[in-house]
Amino acid sequence: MGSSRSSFLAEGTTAGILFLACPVAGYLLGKWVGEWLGLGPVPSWVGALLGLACASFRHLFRLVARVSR
Amino acid sequence: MIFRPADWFLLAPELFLTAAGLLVLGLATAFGKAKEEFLAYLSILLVVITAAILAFVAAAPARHVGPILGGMFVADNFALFFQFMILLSLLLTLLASMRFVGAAPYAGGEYYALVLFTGVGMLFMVAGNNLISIYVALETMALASYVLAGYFKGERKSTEAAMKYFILGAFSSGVLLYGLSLVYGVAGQLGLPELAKLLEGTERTNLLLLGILLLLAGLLFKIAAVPFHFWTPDVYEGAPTPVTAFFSVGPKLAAYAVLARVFYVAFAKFHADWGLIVALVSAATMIWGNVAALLQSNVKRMLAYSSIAHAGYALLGVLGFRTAFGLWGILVYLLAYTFMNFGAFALVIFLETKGYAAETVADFNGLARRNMTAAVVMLVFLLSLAGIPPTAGFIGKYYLFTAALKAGYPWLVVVGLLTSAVSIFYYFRIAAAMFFSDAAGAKLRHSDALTAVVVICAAGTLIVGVAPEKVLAVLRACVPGRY
Repeated sequence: MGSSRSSFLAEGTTAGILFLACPVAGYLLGKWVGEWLGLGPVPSWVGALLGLACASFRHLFRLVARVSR
Repeated sequence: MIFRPADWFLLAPELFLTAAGLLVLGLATAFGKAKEEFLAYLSILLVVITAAILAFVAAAPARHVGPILGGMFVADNFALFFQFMILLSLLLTLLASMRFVGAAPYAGGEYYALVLFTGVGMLFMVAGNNLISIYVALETMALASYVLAGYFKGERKSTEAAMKYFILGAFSSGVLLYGLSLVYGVAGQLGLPELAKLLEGTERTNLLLLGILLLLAGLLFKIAAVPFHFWTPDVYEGAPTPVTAFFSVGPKLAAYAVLARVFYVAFAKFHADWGLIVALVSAATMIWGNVAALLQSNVKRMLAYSSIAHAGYALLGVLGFRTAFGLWGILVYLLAYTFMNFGAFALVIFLETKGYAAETVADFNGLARRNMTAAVVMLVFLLSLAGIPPTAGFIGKYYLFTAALKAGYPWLVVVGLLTSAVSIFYYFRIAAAMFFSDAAGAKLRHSDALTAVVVICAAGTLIVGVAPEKVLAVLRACVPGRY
């Protein structure tokens, strides 16, 4: 019981951290790609959006799926 | 803030539907399971009365067009169009739900009340003229939707669908709210026309762009566009099929209205910044939705991915908002989409297997031999979803592709045409099962209410497709102004 509660807490905390970290990482990666290819600021916003969706939301979705089973 | 008595007259449909939801909920607690059929008919009657009030308001000789209630809402033809479409989707949902709710072991009154409350949220959403009023309306809609998704509380899939929808929906609302707060932090305004005026003289800053991006992300989640789409197949599969049909149409109509209005009125100046992002999202949504649908054998999941793909097509209209075809194209497409998508889901509900609606493509096996009319009508919906003339889907796609072309996105039109060709394969898998398979499929259950849904949807699909001129003329008057 205690172990499952602490693992749930850990997963919840991970989801929270990823929600902030992934868009920031995506933004920085996109900014680097934008500067490298000379594409302006758009890649950084695309990176942030992808980070938000693919990592943050997707991780949360998997967590909810696991918990509700 | 100025409140004029005439403003309340313009909000009469929303206020009446709110009262209707409360009445049905009150009667539901008094009656329990016993009189749920009466409550279903009462809800249908109340939606029809709301539509009549809306028609009366629309036809009023001295109708005020512009901001109302101190600018929190706006009364215009754009809102009217979406409000009529939302009431139509409510009506179709209530009709399609009667058999399901009757068979379920839970009291059905709450179900009908929740459908009405979802409608209230959507009616307010499409008339929203301020980011706060839009947000509150969106939450009203969303909270009722989460409960509807889990209406079959004894079913694991339904409960799981509701859980996923609720958690992810809540997070997406949080993202949207954060974007809204950043925009407010930069501009100090939340009214859409005020924002437009203020941003006209403002240089773009990273903070403002982040706010717009988060607002966009929240709305993309609601329309299930890639990469915010992954909740859709699971929620559509797990929710009761009439609710799935409703989710695939109603909330999307409202979200598109908000997306179009917010980005057309308030953020038009930054089109160069958000335009390319929306273009990439549109392309990814068309490709992913159609390719993933190819791999599905579960009909609800297939239609879920198909609805994701259609979200990508409709985004073309948002991109082409500066052309004469852009917002008009969205209106035409969403009108067509409502009829063809709801019609396809209605046929899925018509087929019964193990006490539930059809699950797999195999359930459509040999439908033409058992009921030729049902098979032909389903074929019409599938042709329309694939965008083949002379159906409503073709007219909708024609205007959206024209909008994208005129807005300078020819590559998106190519993606749209190619993915439309891909979609023919999976739609025709159902058609092939209906007309060419000898294997046994699911049985067809008779229902007058469902027949009415199919007739309305088939008529809409064919009228918009065969004789679009009058419909198009009406819709041309519904493109919003910048008040």
